[in-house]
Amino acid sequence: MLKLESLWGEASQSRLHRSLIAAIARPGEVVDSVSWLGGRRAWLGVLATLADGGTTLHDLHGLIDERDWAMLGANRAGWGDAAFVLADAARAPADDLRLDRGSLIRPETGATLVLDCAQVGSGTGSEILRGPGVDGQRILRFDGIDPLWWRLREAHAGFPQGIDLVLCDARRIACIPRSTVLGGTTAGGGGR
Amino acid sequence: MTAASTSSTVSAANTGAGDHFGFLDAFAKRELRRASFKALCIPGYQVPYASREMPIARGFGTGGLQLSLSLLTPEDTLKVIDQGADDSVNAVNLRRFILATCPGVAATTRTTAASVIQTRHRIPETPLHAGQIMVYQVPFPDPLQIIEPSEAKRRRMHAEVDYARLLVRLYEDLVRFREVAITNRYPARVAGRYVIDPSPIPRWDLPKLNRSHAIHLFGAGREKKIYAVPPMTTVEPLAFSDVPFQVEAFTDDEGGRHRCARCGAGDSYLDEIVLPDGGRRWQCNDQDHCDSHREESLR
Repeated sequence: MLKLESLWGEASQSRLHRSLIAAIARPGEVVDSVSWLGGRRAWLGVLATLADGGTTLHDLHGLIDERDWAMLGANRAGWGDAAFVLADAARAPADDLRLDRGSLIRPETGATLVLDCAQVGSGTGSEILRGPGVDGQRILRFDGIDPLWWRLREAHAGFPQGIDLVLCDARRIACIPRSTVLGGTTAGGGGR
Repeated sequence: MTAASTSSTVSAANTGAGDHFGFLDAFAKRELRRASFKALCIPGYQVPYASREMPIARGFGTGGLQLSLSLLTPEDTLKVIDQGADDSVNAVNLRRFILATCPGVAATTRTTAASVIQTRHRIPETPLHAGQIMVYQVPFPDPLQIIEPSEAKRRRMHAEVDYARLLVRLYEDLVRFREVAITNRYPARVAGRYVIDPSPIPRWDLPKLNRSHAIHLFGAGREKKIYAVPPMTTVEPLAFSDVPFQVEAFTDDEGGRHRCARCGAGDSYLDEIVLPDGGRRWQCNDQDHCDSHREESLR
């Protein structure tokens, strides 16, 4: 009999969804989802909660093994067309990487970029966040994000168009939606 | 591997197999979750989604119901209100259905105790806190619907931030009635960009959306749209610089404010009740607020 890991069950995914809603509604707020990940990294929990056969996914750095591809059931697509793009944050994006940023008529088609980071919520890099969901400003700390990812986000920006970032480490999740304004960095490696 | 076992492996793929919670299948929930996620990324924008058939008729809160079912976990405490009342037919039936399909979820009538509040036509008087999610049942999600019948044109107007005709509509009210005559569904601009229809809440409730601590999700099942107002986000009613937005005043003949006949509150949205003898009585619309205020005053 096929035995599924807890991550693929509704019980875990409904809790992960609430973690995601909390994180995307309050950009930069770090949520710990370790209880619902079944020992897997947080990016897989994010994809298991949001992706399925009704959407498209591109794995930029080959982080997803074949078994997890089969479990996700998401349709493979090129990075320019995919609704979800998964990448290793420590590796710099290619110069010509262009994701779907949506259109003025259909901005919701803008891609969700899921970055697998060394640390989220702590670390030497940081960003100052402002905008909807943030009371004044919030500082998000992290480690292991190549600075070019921030440049990629800027290159796609132009609200309501843009890309939405989900930063994940082994257990924690933080989000930076396109509506968030990044207001400079504090000192430390990995920041801009 | 046999054909049968291959089939079972494929059908197990990310279906949330093994447990069933919240009536909707895993694919429906995941689509609702994706739409809610994008709605929070683009505050005020109406994200289209494939609204499912529900065991209640469209127009009776299927959008809000689907959102609630996609959000709830067994740790949640749910409050359902209809026009401020926990015990109206719509609220009772929706609550009963949700509790029957979401084992473990607790129900409450207390605003402060609820983690998810599904509502039709009101925002509770009690200030919401950061741990709460408001889910609105929305009949008409697009504020431009009153001036433009074509959805394609309305989408373009939202894209181009073209709300001039909406402002003209407000101006026409001022010319004809000396005040804006919109009593509910008052258009409001979210985060300085999209104008939303905040569902048929009275004008009284609109300021509560502005920089609220809670998450606000709006579901229109019949119109197949979801939109959102994240916490701490500006929500400004459309108005003119020389004619500010006003909420209901509830003034009596002497120029004072009517008070609730039941609890004495002078700071809540009131219902006007016509008595058999032709007289008038004023009472809090928010049942929980009225009960709480009454208990405090009796203490």
